[in-house]
Amino acid sequence: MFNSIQKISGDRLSKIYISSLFTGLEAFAAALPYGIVYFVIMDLIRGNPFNNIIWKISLILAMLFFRYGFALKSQGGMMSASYEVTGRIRIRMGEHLRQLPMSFFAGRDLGRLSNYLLQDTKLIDFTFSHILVRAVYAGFFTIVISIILIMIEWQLLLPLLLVVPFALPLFFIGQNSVKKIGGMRLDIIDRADSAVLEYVQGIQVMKSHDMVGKKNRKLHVLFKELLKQSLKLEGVSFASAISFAVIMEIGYVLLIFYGGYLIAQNKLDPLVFLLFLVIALRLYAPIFELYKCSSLLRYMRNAGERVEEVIREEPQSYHPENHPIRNFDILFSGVGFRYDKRSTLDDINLTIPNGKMTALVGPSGSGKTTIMNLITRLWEIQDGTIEVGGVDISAISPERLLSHISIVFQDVYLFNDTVRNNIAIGKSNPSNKEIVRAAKAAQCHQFISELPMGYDTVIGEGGKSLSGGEKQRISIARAILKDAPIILLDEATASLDPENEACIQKAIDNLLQTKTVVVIAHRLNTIAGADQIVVMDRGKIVQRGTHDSLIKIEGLYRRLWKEQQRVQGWKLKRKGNNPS
Amino acid sequence: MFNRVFSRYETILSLLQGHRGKLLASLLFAVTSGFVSLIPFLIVYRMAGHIESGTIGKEIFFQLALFTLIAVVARYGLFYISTMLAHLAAFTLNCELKSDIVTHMGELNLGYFDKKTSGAIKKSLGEDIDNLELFIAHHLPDTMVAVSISAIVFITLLIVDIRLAIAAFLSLPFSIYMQSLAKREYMDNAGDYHDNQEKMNSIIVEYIKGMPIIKTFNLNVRSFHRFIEAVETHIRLAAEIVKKVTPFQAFFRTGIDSGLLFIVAAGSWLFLIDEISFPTLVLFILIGNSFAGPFHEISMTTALLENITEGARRISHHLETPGLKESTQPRIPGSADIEFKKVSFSFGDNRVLRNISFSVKEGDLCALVGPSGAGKTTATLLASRFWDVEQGEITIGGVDIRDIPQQKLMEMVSFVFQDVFLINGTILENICMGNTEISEDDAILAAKQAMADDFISRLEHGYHTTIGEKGTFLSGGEKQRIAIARAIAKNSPIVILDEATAFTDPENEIKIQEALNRLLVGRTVIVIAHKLHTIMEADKILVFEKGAITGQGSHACLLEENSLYGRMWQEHTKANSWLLAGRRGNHV
Repeated sequence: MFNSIQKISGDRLSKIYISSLFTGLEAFAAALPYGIVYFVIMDLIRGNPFNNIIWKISLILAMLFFRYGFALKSQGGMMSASYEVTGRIRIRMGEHLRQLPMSFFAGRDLGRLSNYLLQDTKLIDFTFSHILVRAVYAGFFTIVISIILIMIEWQLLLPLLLVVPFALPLFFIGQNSVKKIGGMRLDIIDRADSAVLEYVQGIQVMKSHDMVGKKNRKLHVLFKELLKQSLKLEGVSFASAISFAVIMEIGYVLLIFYGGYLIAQNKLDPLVFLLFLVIALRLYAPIFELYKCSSLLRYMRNAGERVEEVIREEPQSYHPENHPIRNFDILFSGVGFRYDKRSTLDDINLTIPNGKMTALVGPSGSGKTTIMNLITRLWEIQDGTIEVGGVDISAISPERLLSHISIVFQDVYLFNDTVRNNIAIGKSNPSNKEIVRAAKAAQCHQFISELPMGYDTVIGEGGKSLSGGEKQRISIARAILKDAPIILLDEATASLDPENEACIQKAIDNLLQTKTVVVIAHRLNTIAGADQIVVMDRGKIVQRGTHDSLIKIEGLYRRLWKEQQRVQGWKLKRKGNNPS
Repeated sequence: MFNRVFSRYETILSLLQGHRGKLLASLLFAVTSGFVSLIPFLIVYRMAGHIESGTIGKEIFFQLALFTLIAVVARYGLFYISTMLAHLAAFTLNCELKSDIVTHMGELNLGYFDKKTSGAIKKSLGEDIDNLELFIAHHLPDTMVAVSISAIVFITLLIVDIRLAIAAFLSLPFSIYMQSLAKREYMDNAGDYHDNQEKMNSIIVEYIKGMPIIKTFNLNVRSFHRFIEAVETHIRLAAEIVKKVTPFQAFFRTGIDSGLLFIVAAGSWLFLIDEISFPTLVLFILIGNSFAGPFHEISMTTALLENITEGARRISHHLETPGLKESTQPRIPGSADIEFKKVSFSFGDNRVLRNISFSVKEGDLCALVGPSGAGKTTATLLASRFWDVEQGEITIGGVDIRDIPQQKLMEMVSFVFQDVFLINGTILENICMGNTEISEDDAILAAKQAMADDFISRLEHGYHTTIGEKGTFLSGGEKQRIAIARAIAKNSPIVILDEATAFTDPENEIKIQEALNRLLVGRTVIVIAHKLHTIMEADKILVFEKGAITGQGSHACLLEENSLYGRMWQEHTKANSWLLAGRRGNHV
């Protein structure tokens, strides 16, 4: 974990090391007085002059001041350093995620992905700022006390060490059972959480199908299972922790025996032994603290591993060839793509001419959307090449490629920001005038002006306060502002919000002026005027031509066209037109 | 003050009903174990006495060692029992509360579950209950042990030698004062910090959800400036807090542990002038500052307590929210006629429906049209008692829906809306939805009627394919058809439908249309309509405008009589003839 964090955060870790050093010194200053106490008591018993004692007590006082100084550096340093490290990790992760192909995001739970950036980095933060401090402190404290004990009478340490080989296996057994049962428990927690989420979100459906309360067996079974696993985990892991503690403390019992034996043989001064016992008692708290920290660290390591996993994903690469892009012809040569069994492209050869409109037509799953995604290189092709203006898109940086393309798709995502800023993402630092002009062309100036704060109204995450059609028009305004030469459009966009359909249609017409347009068509009559219609079926191009030419020959296009004519006349009526 | 503390715990205590015995036993064992943990210290103290009096011998060591052994075993044994009891109580409570809340949710009216309350319930089911569990399993026993050990040490030391005891506790008030300063300093600054943290969290979530946009518009963590701003503010605010709090915190850490200095200084002096014995000095060195820990413990627990009581209050709030009232004289409707009689309804101050009256005869198709926000959706939701009407009544088969047992009402009505909710399970489970009376054959038949059979059987595991997170992803139109199959399988006499459903996925439109047509056969249907031509043949069309019905009748008659309907019809026919070739129009 530390390695991967080291990699991510670069030299920032040195701050953590320095703070750890101060923590160690703090522990040193806290433990040393126990050694001094030994000499003070010896002085007292032997009746040494009081002056001898005074300077020793002054030393204890001095240690307090040192300790305060070190504590200032250790805690504060560690905390601010860990915040900085986790902040860097978040930024680095954010930047890294952006460079990953969309295939990384598809099929992944976005909630969980956000957790990588939030919970997991927070855990890393916690590891440094709390656990590491505690562990380092306890470790140094143990070491200093041990050294003091060795200096007092090294043989007496033997009974304490004797039990360690017996205690350590218990430590590992405990850790392993935490890992094993803990893993199972986490799995159930995961399942229970998503079942609860499903239940709350789908309460309407659950209720309408009588799956609420006790009748939702899945939930109750999971809750019970969680109870069982939790108890098991606690029972096993705590039993091993307790056994570890008992065995360690039996060392103390042995010490009393051994000391008694040595004293009986007159090999040991009873007073020395007594003081040894007093100081040895200080060993146990930090040792158990270390035990606790190591269990916690193991748990934290998972978080680090998940972060590392994301960082290890390869970002999209490109081989810069600095060819100028001549125009915006798009050329597919022998393109093959497989994502899952349902969307595959096979040997696609296609020219999308500069400045013309090309429509992709075909049943769902035929690969139309995939073609769009491949042009943007959000997804990587497996065979063949795609060129834009004569340059292979894998030789252009993804940023530069995307700067030439605008996309208007069905699902619009708006940021939790002002309307203005949501449109402004189309261009770097656009003027107010440009934004309003784009909004006007996208038919959204009017409804924006009617919002309480106009262009400065903050719209909720995902644009929840706007209607579907309004969101669409804002996304069109973005695209108009971006003014990219290539436009990828999902025509269904226009019919998403039947009440605003006319407005969106007008907005789209404004967007398409003089561009290279690729449109996924659903309603064939809207694209009847396209320069080229490409008909796709099951990942292959089966027909191409203009509407007039395609409609004349027998084929998929004509079939689709006829079917659509029928759909257009559809009426909700159960009695008359029930299809047989 | 004690009362106040108690009333704080009251909500927690009431939730704990049924587990108090276990918890009390756990606390008792824990405290006993804490006392036993002091025995080794006393043994060393005894030994010091023997050494001083010179009565030290082999047997005494043997005895003391034996005592220590017993103490160690007893201490950890008791501790284990206590911990397991506390965990048993905590885990069981966790399980029970979750079960209780989900069960209670089933009794609440559906209107209760808006975005805010759903969020609060999720929070309670997760964080709140988990915190409560943690509190019972760990914080409570730990604090009790810490406090009781402190108390007994404190009293013992006072009895043994009051002067030395005062020396040992000398730094205590200062340290506690410093801790309170640290806390105040933290509180003063924590508001901004937490606000920013929340902001940062939501920005990060946005960043990930909006990834396609982030990528296609070439935004990055810097140009998506809110990201970097929030992260950097987070670092800055945290550093500021640390800077302000650390001096006090460090003082507390050092000061609380400084008893040894004062004990050694005062103890040496008192010993030299023969005021205290050697064992007394040893005893103070041994336990004189072993009450430092509890203060950490206590300050941590009080900080958490606020949070936990708040959570406990939320939990009981959910449990105490009254459910839908079931009628004392339930009646079962004999037909599926639906009638709204002078129904009014508001969301807060916002009057959504005003004095609405209409009726739909069994087997009829009734369409609701009108601009968005006119109250169409609300009317359909009231018909299935998402909320209770404010004024007027809604009847099904002549029975006020408030008199119909909830379960029966739910059986009578099916919904097919745009956003389909599929449960994480197989397709078959999604069609049957927990109804064990539907056989697999019936489910397949329903899927066939819903035009879903062809794509389902093409899936690798057919009807047993798992959908969702780890399973197959379905297109919007496919999900719609599963929802329709679900409604067909449920076979309820009334169907409420959002007609836009049919247009979610234009490519599958024809199939969805056919599926809908089959679903609607022989049922009473209320449809929220957008494309007017689809409902031209409805038995009755209701025109909604600002919460009122401004016209009702057939298509033909509304076209003549209702100006809003006429306008909508005109716009609709225009939009339908759109040709995507704007620039051609300009160029050609």
